[in-house]
Order: sequence, then structure tokens, then C-alpha cells
Amino acid sequence: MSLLFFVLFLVLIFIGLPVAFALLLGPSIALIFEGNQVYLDMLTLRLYYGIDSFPLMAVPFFILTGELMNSGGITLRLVHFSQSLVGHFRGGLAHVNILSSILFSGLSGSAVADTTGLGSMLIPAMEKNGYSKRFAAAVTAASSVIGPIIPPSGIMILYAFFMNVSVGALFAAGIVPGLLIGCGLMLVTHMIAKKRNYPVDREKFEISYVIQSTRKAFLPLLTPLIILGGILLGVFTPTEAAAVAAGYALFVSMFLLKTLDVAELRNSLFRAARTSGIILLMVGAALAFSSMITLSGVASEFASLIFSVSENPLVCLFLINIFLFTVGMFLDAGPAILILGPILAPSVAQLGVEPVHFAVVMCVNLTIGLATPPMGLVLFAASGLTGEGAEKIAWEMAPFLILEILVVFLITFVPEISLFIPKLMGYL
Amino acid sequence: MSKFMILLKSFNHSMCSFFRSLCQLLLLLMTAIVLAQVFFRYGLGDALTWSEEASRFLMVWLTFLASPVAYLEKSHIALDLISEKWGSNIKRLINIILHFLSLLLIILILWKSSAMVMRGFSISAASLPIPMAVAYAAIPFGFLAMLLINLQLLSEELFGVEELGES
Repeated sequence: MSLLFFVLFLVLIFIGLPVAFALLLGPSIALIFEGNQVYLDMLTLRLYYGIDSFPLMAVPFFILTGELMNSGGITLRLVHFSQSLVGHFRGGLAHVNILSSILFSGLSGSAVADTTGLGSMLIPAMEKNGYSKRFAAAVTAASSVIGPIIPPSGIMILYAFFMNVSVGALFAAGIVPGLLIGCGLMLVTHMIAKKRNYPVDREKFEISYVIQSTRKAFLPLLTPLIILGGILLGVFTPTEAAAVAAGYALFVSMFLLKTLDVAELRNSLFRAARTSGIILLMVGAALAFSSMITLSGVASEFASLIFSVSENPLVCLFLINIFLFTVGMFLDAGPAILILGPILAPSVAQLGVEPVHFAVVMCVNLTIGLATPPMGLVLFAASGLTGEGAEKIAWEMAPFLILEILVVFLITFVPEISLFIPKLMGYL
Repeated sequence: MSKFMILLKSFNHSMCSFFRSLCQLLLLLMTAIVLAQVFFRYGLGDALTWSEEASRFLMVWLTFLASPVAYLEKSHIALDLISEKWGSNIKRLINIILHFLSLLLIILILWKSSAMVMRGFSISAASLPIPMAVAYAAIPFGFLAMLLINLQLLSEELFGVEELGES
């Protein structure tokens, strides 16, 4: 089998065919040309069995949880809770934005939901408080990428499903890198706020306000504990934990806090269904595509290409990271993982890199790509919210992006940062 | 021609709004079934045998009902490197090529997956008393809907957009 299918696929996505279609059409045309009727017949079967999977069902459930929790009332409670903790720092609202992203990342597994939910609330507030629109958008976009790094995470479920890694191990491994990025962003914010003399949000730290806002945010903040506790203690499978989280989010937002009415529930259900449909179709198509990758030997050719440069794992990982940054500038994290995972993971395993470690590096790297131009969903969402051009926001975001890239290299070369918790939980 | 296009467009519109409602129901049902699975195992100590398969089939149908809606809304993930700056004629030409390529794929999948459904009538599901054809059928169903939408988008690109009346 030649590499024709891969070349066709690249041409098709570059001219703008939807990725899901290109994943199916590239191999189809190649198989028709090569007269390979047997594999052509198998394509739809693989498409079907790429979707008909119980572990994969965690994706729609976590998306639904995020949508339900993103309804105005709950986001506001998380923001108030963050304000009570970090509002008194210089650049208060920028810190609040970052901390809210960290908290929200435990409720949702997608970065775009984080940008639109928190951004629509905090960007106007920051503007009123004397920040430039551009800086407000940059902080929102840069901190949104924490969403899919701290569990639950849609792209980690995809990675785990595709590459046969444990979801629990991957979730556990994402916690510290996610927090590290969050703290790093706050440090950078601190320096910028001092230089530009940004205002504080609250005059001083008040313990009474902390208690009051904690009480209001308590029920939503319980969600990550249910999810992580349930999975890591082995009470639920990840899919069951995701369904429990969705059920809990529905119950809390509709009946306890009353932040959600029936009309908004229907909207949330549809938005979650649409996003899930888009992702799942792509997963099915990518599974059909990846069988071609296996058959054609693209993976081993790629491996020998890397090894021809160097056989040192550190050098190889460095090069792969640069490659992933480049890909991430153009492609979303989800499709990039579905397309490149089956090519990269086996090559890296040959180098003796722990699969969970590489999984985290790849997921974090590609997630940061969501905020980089010229193609970045998070960047576009922030641009759409503010009306500022994506390139202008990207320039303002430069110090944050540099920090995030440094964190990627840090977790690449110090595996213990991500592997410490999975080891503690007995996954490795 | 234009009468046919208006008919097609209004049909697609109603079809997708029906799919929207159906998707909401399926997702709610999926969640309820998996919650029931957890409840029966821990609450009643009696694991359900059918819940996993039922929720999987619902998810497959959800995917192929949501995909046409996303296709009509142009929200499937795609690169957008060819900008209007190159000239509106080039952009339009590329769009027409893309719609033709999509049409090619849709017809191919429709054909291959219909054959799969036919074979699926003689394969029974693992725990539910239905043939696999019921689940397989989601693919040709979804791609048939996408065929109708593709024809609308293609003709709009070729002959211009027909406005729907307010009736």
C-alpha cells in the first residue's frame, strides 16, 4: 500500500475539506485507484466501530457537564469565589480570570467553553476596571488552555481510547502540569500588572467573604471531586463518572441552584449533542484512517526519519515538540491527536519513553496550539468576544505563550512532574 | 430549478430542526441509561445487561443525526487557509470543488454503508433483541440527510442563495 492516501488527505484538508470528510475521502480515492475493493468495503465498518464504543461515551457526557455548568449562575459563583481569594492582588481581575479557569477546568473538558463562559463575564468587567480589551482577551485565551489539561479532559479521553492508555492514569498525570501552567500564568500576570500598574479588584483579603463565597460555590466545586474520586478510587468507569457528573450538574443547576430553566436545558443538550457529533464523526473517520496508517507503514517510516536525526530520546522529544507546536498552529488538538497519535506514539515507545508521559506532553503541547495563530479555536473565540483582531490578541499574549512553551519543555524533560500522581495512585 | 431549490431548502430546514430535538432526547436518554446502570449495580446490587449496548447504539444515532445539522451550519472542523484575499472567484471555485468532493464521499459512504446494513440484518446484537442493522442504519440515514444538504449547498454556490418566504 502506497502513501497516496496520506498525500491526498493532506491536500484535501489544506484546500479546506472538513477533517472528518478528508479522513475518509483520502483513503477512499487511494483504494479505488489501487483497486483494493476489500479495504474499501471495510471503511464504513471501521467508521461504525470507531464510534460504537462505551469508553468513548465519556466525551459527550463531559461536554454536557461543561455546558450545564457553564450556565450563567454557576460561572458567576466560581468567579466570586476566585475574587475572594486573589482579588486583592495587583492586577486582581486578571488573577481572578486565571484562577476561575483553573476551577472551571475541573468541571469541563474543553477550552472553548472556558473562553466563552468566563470571557463573556470577565472581559467586560476587566475593561470597566481599566484594563485594555486586548490584554483582557489575551489573559482569557491563555488561561483557557488549562481546561483540557486539568481533568476531566475530552482530548485525553480521545488519546486514551486511540492509543490504549488508561484514562485514569492520564487524568492523574494532567493535574500537576495544569496547575503549573496556572501558577506560571499568575506569575507573569503579577509582573505585567506591576509594570503597567493595573488596579486591584478588592481592597483587602477578607476571610468572611471567602467563607460566604465558598458556601455559594461549594456544590459546583464538588463536581471535580466526584469525577476524579470516582475514577481514581475505581468506583466508576470514566464513562460512568462522566454520566454521574452530567446528572449531578443537571440536578444542581436545575433544582438546587435554579440557574437553569427548561429552555436553557434544551439549548445545552443540543450544543453538547452537536459538539459530540462533530467529534465522534471525526473519531470514527480517524479510526478508519488509522488502519491505513498501520497497513501502510507510515509510522515506521516516520520513526526511522526521527531516528536518522538522532537516537537520543531527549533530542527526539525536543524535535517532536517543535513539530507538534507547528502542527498545533494549524490544527485543533482533537484532530491532531487522532491523526498523529497513531504515527508518533509507537515511534516514541521505541525510544523507551513512558506512554503516559508522552501522552501528557502531546496533549499539553497541542492544547497550547489552541491559543496560537493563525488557526486557534480559543484565539478565535476571544477575538469574537471582544472584536479585537486575533493577531493583536496573539501579540499581547506572547509572554503567556512563552511561559506555556517553557512548561511543555519542563514536563518533557522532567517526567516525574506528570508521573508523580499516577505512580502514587498505583497506575504505573 | 429554483422551485426545486426552495423546496429542498425548506425541507432541509425542517429536517434539521427535527434532528435538533431528537438529538436532545437521545443525549438525555443516554445519560439516564448510564445513570441507571450505576444505580442498579451499587443501589440494587444487580447489574443491567442491556444498558451498555443500548447507550452505545443511541450514541451512534446521535452522531449521525447531529452531523447533518453541523454540516448545514458549516460547523464541522476544517482548515480555513484560503482567504477572500485571493479573490472571491477563486474562493467560490474552491468551494464548488469542495462541495463536489463531499458529494463524491457522501455517495460512496451511502453505497457502502447500505450494503453493510443489508449484511447487518443477519447479525444479532449482543444483548438487545434486535439485529445490528438497526444500529448500522444510522450511517446511511445520516449520510442521506447530508446528501440533501450537500445538494442545497452546492446549488447555492452555483446559482446563488434562494431566499425562503416567510410563510
